[in-house]
Amino acid sequence: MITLNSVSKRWGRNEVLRDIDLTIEEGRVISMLGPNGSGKSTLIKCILNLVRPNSGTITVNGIPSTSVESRKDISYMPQVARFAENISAIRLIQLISDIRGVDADPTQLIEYFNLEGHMSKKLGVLSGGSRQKVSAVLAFLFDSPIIILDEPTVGLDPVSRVNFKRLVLEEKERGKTIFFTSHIMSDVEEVADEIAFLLEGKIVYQGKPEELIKSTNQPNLEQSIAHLLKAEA
Amino acid sequence: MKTIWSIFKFVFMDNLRSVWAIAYTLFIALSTYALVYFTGSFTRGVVSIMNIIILITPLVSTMMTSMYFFNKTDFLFLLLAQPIKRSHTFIGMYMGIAVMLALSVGFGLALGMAMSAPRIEDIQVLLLLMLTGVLLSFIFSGLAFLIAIATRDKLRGIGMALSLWLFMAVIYDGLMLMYFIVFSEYPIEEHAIILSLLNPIDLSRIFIMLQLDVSALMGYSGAVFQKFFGTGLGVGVSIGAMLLWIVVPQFLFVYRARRKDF
Amino acid sequence: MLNGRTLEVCPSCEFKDVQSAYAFASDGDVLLIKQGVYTVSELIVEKAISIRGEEGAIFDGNGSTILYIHHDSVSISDIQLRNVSTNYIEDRAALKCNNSDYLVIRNVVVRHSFFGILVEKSKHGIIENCDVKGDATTDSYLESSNGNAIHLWYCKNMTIRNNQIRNHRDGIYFEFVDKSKIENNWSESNMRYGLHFMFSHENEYRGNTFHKNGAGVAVMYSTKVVMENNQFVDNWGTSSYGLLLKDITDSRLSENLFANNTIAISADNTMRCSIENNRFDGNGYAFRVMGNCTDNVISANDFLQNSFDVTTNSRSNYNDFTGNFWEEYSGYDLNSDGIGDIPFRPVKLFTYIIAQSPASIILMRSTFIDLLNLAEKVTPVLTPESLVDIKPQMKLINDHLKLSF
Repeated sequence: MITLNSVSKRWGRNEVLRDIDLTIEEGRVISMLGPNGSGKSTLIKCILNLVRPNSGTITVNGIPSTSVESRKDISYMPQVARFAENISAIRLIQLISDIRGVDADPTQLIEYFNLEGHMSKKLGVLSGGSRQKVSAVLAFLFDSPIIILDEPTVGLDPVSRVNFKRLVLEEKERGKTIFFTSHIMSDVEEVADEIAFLLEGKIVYQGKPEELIKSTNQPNLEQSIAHLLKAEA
Repeated sequence: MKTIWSIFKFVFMDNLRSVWAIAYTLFIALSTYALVYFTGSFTRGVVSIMNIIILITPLVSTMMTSMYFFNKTDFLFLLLAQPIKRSHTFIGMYMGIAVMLALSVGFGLALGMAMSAPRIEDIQVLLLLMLTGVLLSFIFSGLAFLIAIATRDKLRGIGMALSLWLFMAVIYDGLMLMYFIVFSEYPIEEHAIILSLLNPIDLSRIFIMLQLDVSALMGYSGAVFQKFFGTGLGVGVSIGAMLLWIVVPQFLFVYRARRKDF
Repeated sequence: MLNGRTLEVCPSCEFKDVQSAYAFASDGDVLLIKQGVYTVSELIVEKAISIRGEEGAIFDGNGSTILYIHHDSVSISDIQLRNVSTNYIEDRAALKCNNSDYLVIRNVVVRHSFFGILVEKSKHGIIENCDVKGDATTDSYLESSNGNAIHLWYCKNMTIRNNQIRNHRDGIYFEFVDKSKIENNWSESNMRYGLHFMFSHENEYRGNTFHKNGAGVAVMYSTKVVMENNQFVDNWGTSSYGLLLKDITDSRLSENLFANNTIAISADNTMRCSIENNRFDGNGYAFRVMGNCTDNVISANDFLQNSFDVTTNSRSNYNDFTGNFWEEYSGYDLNSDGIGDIPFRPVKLFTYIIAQSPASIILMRSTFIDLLNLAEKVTPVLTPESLVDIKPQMKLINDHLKLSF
């Protein structure tokens, strides 16, 4: 469970997050939506302690996010996966295993994403999609109770996308908490139990996607969101 | 420690296999060889080789470090999201880059020398040049790291690193010269020594120059410099100053990194 | 010369010692010294005799001067002289000669001697193939405890050649010596000067080597000096010169090699001298010229690998630097006549700065200084504008001048 308690963050004069209260419950898949610059990345960085809020507190399973311990329960998949140029994917996985002190076997995940032929190639020569998949392997490898994914399906081919979403649902079945951002509404509708809609640093909606569609009287999530944006403007 | 070692190994290997590292090593090797070849002897080429070491090593070190830092933000985020201390991440990364740079210089020099069939007497000067190159690599890589962590913006970070190099390599000496001319009526040899201890590039240059026995050229002042830098105390203080130039920026960037938003 | 007798000296000979043989001898006789060590102390030679040693003949001075020579046409040869101690009242020497014209000193070995060979008021003498080695080292500071190896005072038409001279105060010392020749000597590791002369005119120095002397070679207050084919090598130290010229006029220096000296030539109040076809290689300063030097011609020399080629303390220049080879010259020669198309300015701004503020030498080889020198070269502000070589040579001129050891 991740709890954000009146979290605010300013970059100079620019208020990126304004007094955010958000609870991400255990065992749920929550998708964070919002236009570019609405503060999604900053919010994720706050949870991971890459960015420190000016005020408010964040706890991860009861541990403050400022503590190193809090990140033991989190796996993170960044938006862009340009980690290194001249080293193989398997070495990268080895590195992260080493520093997490977890000796996990990636074979199954590698097979799942059809990466067998790519693991010993330099990361620099892999396609964007393949790198994204390596990043996904890293996110799911350590059996962390919380998985944070930043635009995970961008750049994946349709088959991989289907596979990826299936994996998310499987992990959810195993009791994982999954928090992800996405621009692809169909993906959100398929896998998210809940959505949090962020606009100009504020959460303007949190709840089930079906309920949002219903309350806005729109045919699908995409149009509900568009409706919501228009209303706010 | 284990995490630092793992990160160091990864960053080191990543850099080691880059085209840049190979090009840099070959550049040092070939210019050493060429200078020895064209001047006919190592002893004669050594001043030019020294100039390459004390100018190019800091420049390449600052640039490669800045580039690595700013081009690998995804990797940095991935590391920072892991359950490890920030200081471990940064020290591991710094070491990975700095050790690769230092090895490139050292190996390049050794290779260039080996190609030009050295004499036993030249080995001592070569070792001194290698030591200088290694220390300067660590120093300027650390300073570039500090600048990179202290700035947000890639362009500004690289610009500042370049300015720092320019200041240390050129402008500082200009200011020093102005000082000497203004106070030329006074015995300022001690000031000259202190001022040179404050700039690792100057310190390296003077140290090598005095080893080359040009102190006789320097008259009374040279005798004062030789008296300081030629003693155990002088050598100790010089090495100490160089080590401080390595350690202090590390402390600063670790301190700064703890408080930084990425 | 009379066809004299040969008087043999040895423990079993008719003459047991040198003194008794000398007492018996008359002009034209030869004292032949057989193998053995003979104590000879302050023996005064006033006859035109020859003293010649066989293999292993040694005169031991036991602290005092060995031979005083006060006569013309004396010849000393093939003998070793040793043990003449330092004395602060009189200048003791292995051989002390006074008013001795047509003196011949040949194949004499001198060891552990205060002065080596000291000649006063003599003409037409020759000192050759001698080997004089003292006990001085360039590290010891007591100059006065060591005398000169070959010391001439008020002499004329002397020849000094093929001698080996080491570890004395000055190697060869001339004062008021004229029209003499100093050829093919080797002067090394002397405390002060390898060669030192003052008030000595119309002398010729050829084929000598001056190596690792404490302060190099000093020539002062003399005119019409010729120095050719000498080597000035490794005279390196805080106050060391290859060649120090002071008050020298109408002289000629050519075909000399200056290598690895702190200052190859330092010229003070030197006038109408020609410095041509010399090679300056690997010196700290190749040529230091004071503002009081005028009308000298510096031409067809090679300047290679010197830290500074030319330095001066003045902003004006009255000497002619034309047609030298400067290794640092970076000009071009479009019409291929062997002469660079743009002039070369050998004086660097930095040397001028050092003269003003000696501590700034700590910036030597700094990039900033290199840039400053370059700027000054393009537009001279502080360095003498007329000190310029308008015909810099594109190729080495004196490549045949190589170290002979």
